[in-house]
Amino acid sequence: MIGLSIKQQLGEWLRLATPALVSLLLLFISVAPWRPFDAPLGGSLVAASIFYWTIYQPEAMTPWIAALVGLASDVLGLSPFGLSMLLALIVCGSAQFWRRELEEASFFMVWLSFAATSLVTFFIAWALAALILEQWPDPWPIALQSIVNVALYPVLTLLCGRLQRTFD
Amino acid sequence: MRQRSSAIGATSSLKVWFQRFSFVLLTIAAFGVLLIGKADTVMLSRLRIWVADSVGPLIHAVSTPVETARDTASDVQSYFSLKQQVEALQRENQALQDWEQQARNLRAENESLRALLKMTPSPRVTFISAPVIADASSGFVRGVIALAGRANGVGKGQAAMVGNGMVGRVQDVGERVSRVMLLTDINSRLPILIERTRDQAVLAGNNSDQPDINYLPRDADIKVGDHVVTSGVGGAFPPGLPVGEVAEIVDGKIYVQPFADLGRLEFIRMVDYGLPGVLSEDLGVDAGSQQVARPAAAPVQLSKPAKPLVTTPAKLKPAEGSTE
Repeated sequence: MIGLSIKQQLGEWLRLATPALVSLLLLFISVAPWRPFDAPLGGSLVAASIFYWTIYQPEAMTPWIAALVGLASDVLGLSPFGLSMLLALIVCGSAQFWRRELEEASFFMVWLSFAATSLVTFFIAWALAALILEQWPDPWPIALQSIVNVALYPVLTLLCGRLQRTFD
Repeated sequence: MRQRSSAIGATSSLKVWFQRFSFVLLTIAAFGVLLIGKADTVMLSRLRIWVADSVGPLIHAVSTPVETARDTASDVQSYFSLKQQVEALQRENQALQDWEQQARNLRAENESLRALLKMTPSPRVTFISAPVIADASSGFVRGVIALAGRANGVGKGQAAMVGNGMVGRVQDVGERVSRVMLLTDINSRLPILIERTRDQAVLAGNNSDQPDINYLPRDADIKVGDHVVTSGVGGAFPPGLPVGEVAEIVDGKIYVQPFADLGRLEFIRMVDYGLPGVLSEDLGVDAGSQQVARPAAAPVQLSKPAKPLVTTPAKLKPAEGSTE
């Protein structure tokens, strides 16, 4: 940051803050009292956002930020306390693990990888929820959330991509 | 100089160590948070309502454009069916006028009978209406956040209703917002009564749109379409509040479709029936016993006019009122 003008510094700061801010904004949008798919979105958009930014702007979506965004979802009461934090870490971790391959891969491959990650997180979420709630919750609402999440990924990629280009 | 450089070296190596093991550390922290959440539900509930109170206006600001889009879509949809709607409303109006006449007759009869029996009047029922600002539902929980809190007279354990039935109960109360646990939440348990057969049971949420009936007598003869109302057992809610109707019976499991459309809640009424209930402000201790120990924590009495909500849009102004 040394040698940069105030405007450049501000731009850089905004660029670094964008992934966290976008994820939080998506969290707030997903709790709006509106169900476009006849199922609660319940913070599902956040996972897509974490996945996207970890691949394309990893310095701004670190595991710490992903964990904090997940924790924000927990604190808003969307899942048993700590569960979204753990799921956010799994999403961020898997994106970081395959980052080099995914960065160069076609959109379809990235989308497919996100779908696979969502499938894994669905099973982990369901098993952990059963452990915490001490009963088997209906898997369908959790699965539906994952499906909506995967279905909306292209739209989110489009929006985040445009946003990213404005800072480049 | 050497000391300073070694200190810088130690700091940077610590930073590298933290970066390298951040995943492991954070995963351990997440499991720790899971355990804390399981162990200390009171602290967690206070934290959640404090956060909801703090970010409530922000959530409301974000959700307003979404609500506007939803309303516009709904307006356009209803415009094309205006004729049918007018006809349906005329029929409904006629039926309601008949009911009003019957209600007037019954009230007069009721009053004269009460006077004859010198009956003590039932507790005053008061309510606060508030807009729903967040749908705090996911695959794990079912709830909403309403823009009315302690400052407006909302109390923990109050019934949450809409025009045609029960929605759930007030779970946590903040200063400006309150969290309502819906009937469909996996932790929701509501003592109910099958209106036709008078069988008592418990309605248990399961995170799906249709909660199921538990603890029903073995010989109960339940049919699809049977109305389900509150039984009043437990003293949290009065008997007879409409809940839903039996939607389907699969492998002996009875599913209930709530009368209220829980997926599209715009406004809810939080009703205080003046009953002690089973929930109070702290620890879920029986309100009656807590009143003895801590008179200050007695259930909120809404007979005094509650402080009105301060909201700029006319749409958000709560309809405060009371009914006998």
